[in-house]
Amino acid sequence: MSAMKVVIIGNGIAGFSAASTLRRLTEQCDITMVARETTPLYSACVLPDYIAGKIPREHAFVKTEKDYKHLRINTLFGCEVTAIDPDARRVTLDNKKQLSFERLILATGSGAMVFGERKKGVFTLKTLQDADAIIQHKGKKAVMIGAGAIGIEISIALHAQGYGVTIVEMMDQILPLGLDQRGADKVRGMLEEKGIKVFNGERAIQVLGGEQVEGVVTDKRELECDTLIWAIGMRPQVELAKQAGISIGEKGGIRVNSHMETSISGIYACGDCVESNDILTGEPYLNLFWHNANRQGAVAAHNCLGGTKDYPGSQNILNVDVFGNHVAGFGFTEETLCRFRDIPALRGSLADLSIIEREQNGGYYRLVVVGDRCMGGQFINITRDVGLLWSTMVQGRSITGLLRMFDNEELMCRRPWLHRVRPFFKTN
Amino acid sequence: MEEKALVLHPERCTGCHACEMICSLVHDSECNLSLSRIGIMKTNGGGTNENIPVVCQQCHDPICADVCVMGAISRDEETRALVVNEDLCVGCKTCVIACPLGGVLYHYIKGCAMKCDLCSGDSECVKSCLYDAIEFLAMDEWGRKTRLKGAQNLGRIFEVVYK
Repeated sequence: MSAMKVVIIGNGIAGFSAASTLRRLTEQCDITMVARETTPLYSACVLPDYIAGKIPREHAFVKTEKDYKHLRINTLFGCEVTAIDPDARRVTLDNKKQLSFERLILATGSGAMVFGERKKGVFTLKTLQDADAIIQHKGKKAVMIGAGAIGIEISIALHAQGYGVTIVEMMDQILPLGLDQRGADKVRGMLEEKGIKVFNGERAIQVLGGEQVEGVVTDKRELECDTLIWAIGMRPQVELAKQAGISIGEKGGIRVNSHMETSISGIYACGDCVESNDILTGEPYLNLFWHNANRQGAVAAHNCLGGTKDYPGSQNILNVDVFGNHVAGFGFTEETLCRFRDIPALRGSLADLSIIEREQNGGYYRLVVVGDRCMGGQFINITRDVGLLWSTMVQGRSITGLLRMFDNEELMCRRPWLHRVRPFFKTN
Repeated sequence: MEEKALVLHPERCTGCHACEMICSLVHDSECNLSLSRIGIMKTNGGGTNENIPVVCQQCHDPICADVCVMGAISRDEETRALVVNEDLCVGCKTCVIACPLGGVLYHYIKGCAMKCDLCSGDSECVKSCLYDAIEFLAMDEWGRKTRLKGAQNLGRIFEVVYK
């Protein structure tokens, strides 16, 4: 039997996870990885640490070139795929060369969104090159547009580098997808205490300056700056898939089934470029996170080889260190649930939404409960035991069932770890 | 090496903390409960005092390794334990919040994740326990024991929770 030819486009965690899983499953397979980037796999999640000077550049790398050799992955780095021909089972590269494949795995990732001109001093943060550029820039005054986890992390990193930092957020609170108002206000307080200015409910309208950025105009004020960073979100990179006639979902990611297969059989997709079902609602959603990409890559590889592994669904997670305070969260916030009330899983009703919220010993938590299910949690300075709640939520455990279990000592003795979930549900 | 795992018996545990002491001593050269990879939880539910040992179960499909943005948690080929590569770990605590058992902890001195590494196959906590509340058993034997126990418990759980 001749070896199966698999081409992987993209060298992010999804692409690498797919490649390493393929190799683990079989020796009988030719793996070729085509990637725009020239470096081995690095972690985009630690780039703020690199900007802050907490870790050296080489520490951002997760794999070395040796690892690729060891796994016998043919790498075509610094190379771009310009077209996919699904009928002829061929991809065309930017150097006009063509590669044939039997299975194709798309892991093209996501790109940062930007509005307006890209003047000198205007940045986003997604790749290692972006981080290098920010470090080389050496500005004094930065304006951050967007206060999601990435925006907050870069703000803190730049603050550590001596920048004066101002955050502008369109929504009425920071971390709009991770926290509700009360928690967000706490985090805002932590940022302001250290001298980072935060303006909520403001929209950036115009970027000022000639060649070099000199400021930004919002709907409420004008801010002077020499560094402007867009952290307004990531968007799946799907142009290549679109060209090939692969169907794109309503959220803007490549549509895949639970086997991570696209609308064209034999072509799989994984990572930030796909929209996958959210594990809580079962609805397509963009959950662009490292662990989802990692798992999707492995699932795609299994099914590529004829397996039937299902992807259970994506989970979101928030994990930011704000000046020594650990801010964590998962699932939906009350705010986002209200925004997405048309989700069938919620049956259009949020009448039975309840909140469990408590502040104790310097920690704070808030659980969002719909009916009998926990749909999300937010934690500040509570680290241990968060995972217990997370897994309970993902498994869709009924809360009344859990409470009944807490009351049964014999059962609790058999499921000892559940003792640690109990305090979260204690009634006042 | 034969695949082995730590098996915990909460009903035998007296909560003496000897395992925690020895764990931090062998890993960090000090007796410090907050540096122990194994933890004894004290609960007082239903009027009875319970002491419950909690430690990493070396899952087959570990979420801690999946969420690690540095790929710092991997399986040791020799002992089959999931170990943290402290040089790679950046101390983001994602694995700590992701573990459904509380098996991964944060080393507040080194600033990185810490978890049970099975002491390279010779678990000190097992030797330190005077009450046999922790056993280090081969996976097949362990599997048989726990499966039987699990099946019995599951029946009871369904009775209580879902009826």
